Formats: sequence, C-alpha cells, structure tokens
Amino acid sequence: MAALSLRGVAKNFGSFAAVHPTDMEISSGEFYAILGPSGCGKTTLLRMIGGYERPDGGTVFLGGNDITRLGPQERGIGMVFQNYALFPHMTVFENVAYGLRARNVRGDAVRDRVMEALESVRLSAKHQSPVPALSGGEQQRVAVARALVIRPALLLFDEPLSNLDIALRLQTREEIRLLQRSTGITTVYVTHDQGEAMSLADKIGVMREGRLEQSGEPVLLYGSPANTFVAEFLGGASLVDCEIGPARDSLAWNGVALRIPAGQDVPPPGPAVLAIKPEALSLEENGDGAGMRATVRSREYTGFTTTFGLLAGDRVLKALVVSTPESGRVAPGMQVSLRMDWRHCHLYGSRR
Amino acid sequence: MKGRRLSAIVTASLLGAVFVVCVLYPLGVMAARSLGEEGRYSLDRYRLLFDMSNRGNLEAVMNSVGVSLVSVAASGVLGVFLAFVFTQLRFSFRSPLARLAVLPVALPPLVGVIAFLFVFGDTGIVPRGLQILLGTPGPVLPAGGIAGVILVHVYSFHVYFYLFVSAALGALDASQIEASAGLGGGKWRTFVRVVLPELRPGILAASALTFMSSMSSFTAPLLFAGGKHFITLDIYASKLNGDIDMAAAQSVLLTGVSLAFYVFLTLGPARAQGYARKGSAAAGLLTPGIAARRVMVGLAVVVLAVELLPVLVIVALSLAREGSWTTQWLPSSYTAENYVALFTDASLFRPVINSLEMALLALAGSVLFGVTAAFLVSRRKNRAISTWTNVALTMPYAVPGTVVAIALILAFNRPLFAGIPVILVGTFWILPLAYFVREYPVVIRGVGASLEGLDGSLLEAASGLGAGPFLRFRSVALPLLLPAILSAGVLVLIGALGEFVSSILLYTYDSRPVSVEILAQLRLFNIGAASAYSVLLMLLILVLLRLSGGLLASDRRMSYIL
Repeated sequence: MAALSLRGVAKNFGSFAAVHPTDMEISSGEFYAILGPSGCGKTTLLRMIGGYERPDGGTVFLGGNDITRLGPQERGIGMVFQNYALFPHMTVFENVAYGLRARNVRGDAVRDRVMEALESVRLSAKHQSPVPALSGGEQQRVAVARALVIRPALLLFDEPLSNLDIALRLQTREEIRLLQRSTGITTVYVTHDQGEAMSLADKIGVMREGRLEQSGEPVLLYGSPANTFVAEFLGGASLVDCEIGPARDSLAWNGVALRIPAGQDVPPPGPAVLAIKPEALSLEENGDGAGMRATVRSREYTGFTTTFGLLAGDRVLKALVVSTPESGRVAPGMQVSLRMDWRHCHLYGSRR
Repeated sequence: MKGRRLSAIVTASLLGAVFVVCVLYPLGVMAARSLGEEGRYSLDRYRLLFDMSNRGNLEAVMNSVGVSLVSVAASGVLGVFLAFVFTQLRFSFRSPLARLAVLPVALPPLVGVIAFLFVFGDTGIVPRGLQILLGTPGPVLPAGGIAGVILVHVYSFHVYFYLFVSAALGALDASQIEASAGLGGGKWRTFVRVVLPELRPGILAASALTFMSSMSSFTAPLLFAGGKHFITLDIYASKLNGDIDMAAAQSVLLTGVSLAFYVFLTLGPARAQGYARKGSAAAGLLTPGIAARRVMVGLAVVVLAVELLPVLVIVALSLAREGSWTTQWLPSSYTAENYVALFTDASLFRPVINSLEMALLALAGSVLFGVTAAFLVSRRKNRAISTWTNVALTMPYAVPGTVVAIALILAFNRPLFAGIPVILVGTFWILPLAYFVREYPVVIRGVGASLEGLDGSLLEAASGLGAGPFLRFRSVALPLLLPAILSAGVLVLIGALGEFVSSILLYTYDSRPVSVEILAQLRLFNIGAASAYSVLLMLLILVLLRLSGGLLASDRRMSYIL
C-alpha cells in the first residue's frame, strides 16, 4: 500500500497555478525526490503534504487516511526546512525535545529519545549548545534530529543542502541516505540538483511549471526520459530540431541524413526533436566524418572528463568525454567530426 | 480549526471595539462638534479659521508651519552631522558619547523644555554667565520667542535624524562603497551617488516625523513663545475660554496635517526599503582627512556638551535652596530639602504616585492591546489590507496630544451608552485612557516590525512538530518578540510617566501627574521643587532604560519604533 498518495492535489496563488492537479504515489519506506527548476511548484507540493499550504483541490492520503484538512500539528510528519528553522532562543537539546514536549512526552523519556536522535546525527556532545553557536552543517543535522525524534510517519526535506558548501553537501547527502535506510522512514525530498536526486532517491518525480512530468526510478528516468524537458533537465541533453524520414529509419538534421538504428523509439515522419546527451558524442580530430562536422567553441577540462561545446549548424551541442592526450589537443576554433552513440539519444515528436 | 477561527474572530472584535470606543468615536465626535451642535451644522468655525482678516488664526498657522519647517532643516543638519561623526569616524570614547547623543529623546517633553529654559532662557545660566563675563548690561544671547521654540525643537528632534541616518549608515553594505572606489569613484562621487541615495529614505522619514512633532509641539511654545499664536496653543486657549467648538475645529485642522504626514511616513518611500541588509557594515569607509576629522569630532563634542548642560543644570537646581536662584548666576546655597519635602510631604508625593499608577495602567493596556493587534495584523496574508489596518490602528501616533485630550473630553463628558451612566471626564480614569491612546501605537509599531522580521518557518516548524497555536505563540513567538515588547513597553512607560500635553487639559487636582505639578511649582517660582520632580522623572526613565537592556544602544530598533 502506498504510504503517501496525492490525488489531484492543486494549488493556485491568485491567478497563478503553482501546482496543477497532481497525482503521486509513494510506497512505504521509499525515498522519493521531487526534482525541478526553481519556481516549478515542488516546494509548494511539499508544503501541501506537510500541511503548511491548504490545497485548492484534491486529496492527500497518509497511510490510507485523508489528511487534507488537518493542520501540520495534527499530521505527525517531520519536516526539515531549507533554512532549518531552528528555534534560535533554545539549545540544541530543547530544539529536539520541542516536538516531544508538544506531544506531552515527559520525564526521562524525553531525555532518552532526544539523546538517541542526537546520537544518530553524531551531535550528542553538543546537546547543550545554543543554536547560533553551531556551524551550518551542525544546524542541518539538528534539524534532521528534530524531525526524526517525533518518529514521523513521513519525513520531508525542503532543499536541505542548498545552504552548505560543496564538500559538506556531499558528505551530508551520504549521511541522510544512510539515516533514511536505517530508519526506513518514508521520505520526500525536494531539490533542484539532479545529482542529489539521482544519488539519493529510490524514485524521482520531475516537475516543471506546476506539473509532474515523469516519475520513476532514476535509471528509468535517465535511460528513457519521457519528454525533451526531462532529457534536458535530468540528462543534460542538447536538443536539436530534425525531420524524420518517411520510412522512419532516418532523419535529416542540418543538411545531413542520419540512419536511425533499430530499437529506437521513433515518432511519426515529419518534424521532430533529437535529444543528444553529452556522453553520446565523441570527437575525432581528422575523422572521415561519418556525416557530422562541428566547430569547437569551448573546452572545460575538469580532470577525469572534459566537456566540449560544439557548434553544429546553428546549435551548440555539449559533449562529455574522458580526458585523453588526444582530447587535450582539441582546442576552440578547430574543426572536428562527431560520432554519435544512439544509446544516449532520444527522439521526440515535439518539445515539451 | 473551527474553534481557532472563532477565537480569532472574537479577539479581533474585542480589539475593534476598543479601537472604536477609544479612538474612532472620540475623533468622530470631535469632527462632528467642529461643525456645530444638535443638528445645526455649519462651516462657520472653519470660515473663521481661514478668515484672512483674523490675524491671530493666520499667525498661528504661519508660526506652526514656519517653525516646523525651520525645525526640520536645522534638526536635519545637526542630526545627520552627528550620525556621520558617530558611525564613520573612529575616536576615543566614541560609543559612550554616541549614547549621550540620543539623550534628549529620553527626556520628558516638559522636563527638556524647562531645563532648556533654565540654561538658555532670559534668566538662564548661560546668558547670565556671559553677561557677568562680558560685563554687558543685560543677559547675552538669551533664547526666547520663536527662536527659542526652534532651538528646543532642534534639541529634541535632531535625535530622529541621528537615529534614522545612523541606522542607514550602519546598514550600508561596505562592498557597495568599495565597488564604487574600485570603479574609480572618488570620495565625493561615492558619497553623492552611492551613500546619499541609501540615506534618503531615512532622512525623509526623520523629516516627516520632525515636521509632525513640531506641528503638534505644545510645551515649547507654551513656555518660550511669550504669548505668540501657535495652533496647539490656540486649541488650549479656546478650550480654556470655553469655546470647545472652536477648539474642535482647530484640532481637526491640525490632525489633518499630521495624519497626512503620517500616511506619507508609513507608506511613502521612507519606509519602503528595509534597512536590514546583508553585508558588513561600512564604518570608517567615508573617512575625511585628518584635519577635517578633528574639527568634526570637536564640533560634535561641543554639541554633546550643550545637550548635556540642561540635564546637569536641572540636577544642580534641584539641590538649590528655594529662593537662592533669583538674580544670581548660579544658586547661592544648596540643600537636599527639595527631595526631602518631595518624599515626606504626602501632597507633594501624590503626583508621583498618580503618574506611576496611570503609566502602569497605560502600559498594561498598551501591551495587551498592541501585542494582540500586531499579531492579528501580521496574520493577514493580503499585504494591502494589513498595511492599511496597521496605519489605521496606529493612527493615534499622529494625533497631537492636545487633540487627543480635546477628543476625549468631547466624547466622554457625557455617558457613553444610554444605559451606562459613566462620565469619565473629571475622573482619574480619563488620564490613563489618554495615555493609552497616545502610547499603544508604539507597541504595535515595535512589535509589528519585529514580527515582520520573525522567520515564518519557525512557527511552521513548531506546528509541524505538533504545537498548537497557543503553544506556538508561548514557546516560539513570544520569546523571540520579547525584546521588542520590552523596548516598546519601556517607551510606553517613558511616554506616560512624563506625559504633559494631554494631561494639562484633562487632569483634576486629585489626579494631577508629575508633569502638571512641575508646571504648577514653576508658576509658584518653586524652581527647586520643579527641578526635583524633573530629576526624579529622569532617574525613573534612566532605570527603565537600563532594565530594558540598553535601549539607547539599539539605534536600529528605535528607528523602527519611532
């Protein structure tokens, strides 16, 4: 049974539809990431799950019960806010104990459970510290402990890592994953960082402009993006306009005809969009040019890999290659020929 | 959910009722009365007011407006100068001196004016001292008449400029100034193009506030203007002469002007941009050359000395033997008997008890009403509605004390409701009521600003952790708002303890507050007694300020509340 399910949940701010009617099913124990660019409605959706926004339509079910009309204090859902929302006038201990005291837990039980929660985020030594004395990463962990200690039926994260520096972000990401695994609490995690979503989540829902574009396991979303938006946002694909031939086995792009290998999902003949992921392209300095030629516009060397910006026709394509001595000789301004690996390309009838 | 909404509605209705009875109704009655009585309404009063052949009315308007404009300009120059010196220059004893700079705002209006009179007035210590020093036949440069009024205004109101501008200077983002310098902007260009635009809102706000305060100023004209016409004085005179209709019309006029400025102050460009900005404070980035710096600091210290002098003099005079300061430069003999009398003679101590009682009542009312109102207003999601509700609720802030008194007299000199035969005028209760009306807006403004700065996700986090509305308020909102409530409460107490302008129209002998007693003693030439009361008031205020954790240190908080 689904731990959390949304049926047609929608929210408008004035005439602006922040979230169109949306369905979502999240299984018990699952780590579900809502991924999308800023302003796509992902935080609003999360806040409706937590009870901080009242939906304009639809129903929220938690463990089979309709909780749409309940306030946050009646839902028993843990939330980690983007800015952590720790109470600045309380110590770490008091922050974590807050939810227990609100539930009328008293005495030793409070102490035991708070310390246990702090232990799980490795902060029991700092339980008497005032909150402002903590570093950003520590505050983040207190926020997690505070949400965990009430043994929530559901744990919500609203971009919890966005205020941390990159090294800390990677480390904390790992800790959140381990913690979720060990507690088994169903988790909904909002982020705009696709790397974060991919590495953390069992399932990802990609949102754009208030709509859930695609939902599924990371491998599925990456391997078979449902539309150009998911391909671009999740896979970093470059999109080019092309024309599918009448037999649907070739396409014309930029004056070159390309054969479409068998096994590709091909839209009907006519105008179409080809999504090329960066890893689909490889460069040949003086290749025979199995068709495509491009001009190198930029080169970003990041060590193990190098990313090229390649001008082909009127489009700049991104190509990600493993750095080699050969790739090191390719410099902006040079002409190269491109090889395309169709396993990392997708065809769509239109842009979405 | 339903219960919550119901209790919110009940609370809101209660607040609304208090607001209507204490503010709207009295002002309404006053406005109606200015048109006449018992169905015979006319614009006669206003015709008379605007009759150009009536020299008195014309002079009152000219004096009030003219003095206010000059006060704004002069206070502005002085206040901005001091703000600049104390935030941008580094010198020894800077921070204690900076605290001294806001001293005049903590002086009760009457005390400030009297102290000023003792020092710079016709028979003041400085003019007489100069007379002795220079051997001239009369006192040298005595402050009096219109010039005296302006001087007193500058003395009290330049602090607004000082507070607003130093808050703005303190919030300046250093990187902006560095960026300007890095782009090749010289000191002058940086000041004019980068710094000044940031100060503009603060200067505008302080100007509006100063203009409002000058227009409604009563004490300074009363003691300095020597019988010249001012709108506030004319209202008082009309009331004393029994022409309450005329007093009402004059009040309506004055209130209109004040309210217009208040709306500008709240909604205009003045407050639109918040002062709070991230980035390191820009102290010391606008430093002028060493010579200019020395001159500026020297000048600032002289100004502070002049500010401090009245306070020192009033302390000295409170120790003067009665009758020992008539023609002398300084009192010839000193004693503690003024204080002894004050504390041992029950009839002399009575005003102190009265003031304390009434101020505490006003405090309780203001905090209860103000905090609840600020909280309810902040919960409205629609910004326009909450802003206008706020402006309406804090309206009495802009109503001159003289007008508050006239409105309350007109509203409560008869039973409020047919069934309840209570006439407040002539009783003790009218005074705390007036103090409440005058002071509660400070609480709404202070707590409201603090609420606006309160991170909403904290309350959400609390509710997500299972806390209901009451627990949320008590355990999260209240502790975080406490500093704001405290400082607003202290301001209420300070305002009420020294309140004079409304009191002089509303008091009875039994309910006379300290301020009224000071004036009475002054009229009997009991300068020592008047000074002893003043010192007592100042001490009380000083203690309150210490208790509130150094309110004067927090320029920014003050600039929000004012």
